[in-house]
Amino acid sequence: VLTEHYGRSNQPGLANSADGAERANPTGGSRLSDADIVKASIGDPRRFGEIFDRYADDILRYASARLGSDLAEDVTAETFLAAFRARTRYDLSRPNARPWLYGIAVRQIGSHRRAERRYRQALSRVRAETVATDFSDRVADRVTAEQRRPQLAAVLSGLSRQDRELLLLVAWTDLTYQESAQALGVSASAVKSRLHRIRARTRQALAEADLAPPEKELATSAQENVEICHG
Amino acid sequence: MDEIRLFTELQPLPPLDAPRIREAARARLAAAMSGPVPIRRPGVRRVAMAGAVAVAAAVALAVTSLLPGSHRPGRSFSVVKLADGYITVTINQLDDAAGLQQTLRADGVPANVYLGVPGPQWHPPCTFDPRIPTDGSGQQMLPRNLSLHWPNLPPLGTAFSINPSAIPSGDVLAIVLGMDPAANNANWPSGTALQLPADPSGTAIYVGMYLAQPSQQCPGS
Repeated sequence: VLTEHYGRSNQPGLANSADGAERANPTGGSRLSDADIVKASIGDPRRFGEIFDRYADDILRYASARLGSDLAEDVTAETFLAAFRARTRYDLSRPNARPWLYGIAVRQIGSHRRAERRYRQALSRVRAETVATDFSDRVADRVTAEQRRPQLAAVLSGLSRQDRELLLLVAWTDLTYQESAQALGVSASAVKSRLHRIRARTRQALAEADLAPPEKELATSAQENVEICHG
Repeated sequence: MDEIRLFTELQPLPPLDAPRIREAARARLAAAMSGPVPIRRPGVRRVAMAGAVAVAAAVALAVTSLLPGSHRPGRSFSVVKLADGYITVTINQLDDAAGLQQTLRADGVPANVYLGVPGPQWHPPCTFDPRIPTDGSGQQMLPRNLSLHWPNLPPLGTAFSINPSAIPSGDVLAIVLGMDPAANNANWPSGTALQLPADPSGTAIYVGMYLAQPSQQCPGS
């Protein structure tokens, strides 16, 4: 079950299209960039609260999607506390702090690997009963995703940790490819290359599932999940 | 079909209690922004409030506990004004009501801060605003957006947030801080119902607030 909050437009070449300063300024007036606020917070620590106000919802949503609500509070708080402590090292040439914050959040999530495995495993079991009530143009993708949930969850679990972090950052946030690269500390070309590999792997998994009898397909997927998640 | 898009569709819904989680995280950051990060000591017990609490007729109270070792000389409290107008107050020690009052007023809160003295003769110093509705027990029903963490305190225990814009025009916000060294409610005015701290070694701090009419004893500015 998804909401329109997750209508993402991750496309190559859209770097900074979702810059916080532009996005949250519907009146078009001048507004400080994230870098300006971070810089100001070095002299006046309380200013860092503005960074929290801009991005807490994004980080919380991502942390919750990765780990569940029980750990979302800790990850969200620790992300901003770590960012606050590291603000003097922020690259002020980057006006948008979201990639930086997501990068910190990814590291915080990484410290909860066991919980992350459990929560990821649960992804393959959750059903979306309300999908049919959605008449947006995304309904086809949603139906396909729900029908293929076990296979997609198996692909996710089978990825390397680095590839999985990239995939979920691209799929579950509105970071551009370039911003995702910044968040993970890799090059933009590496992001494109790894996403190409992930797409191919997903296509292959779905195609193999199409060829398999339904009973065997489900049993295999479940077994894969168990083996991977308890490894 | 974009395979990445399929994974997007698998993203779980945000948690239903996202606002609570957000504000709890904000309180932790606010404490860090206000100065040295509060020391987390093993064994610190936080006390949850079990039910509605009343002082005299209508003071909303919350309870928490601090170990004696959490005292930080010179930092009795911190006040952090956030971008959305909320003000987060963290109480570290009960010894500077005047300082807290002055700081809050400078940040736009028409506050009168008092240290409560437990005892049957103690009465709230400000007169309750009769325009504010009360519940069946006589406790004021404060505007819902007056305080984000009220009466449910965030994890750090002694922090709470105030929204100055939620204070009715002309009103004064009376804040009552009290300490019960015995960590029980025996010495508090009759009619006060407090949950006993779970940790008997902790010293309970009571934080109450109510909306009052301005007066000479309770000017708010």
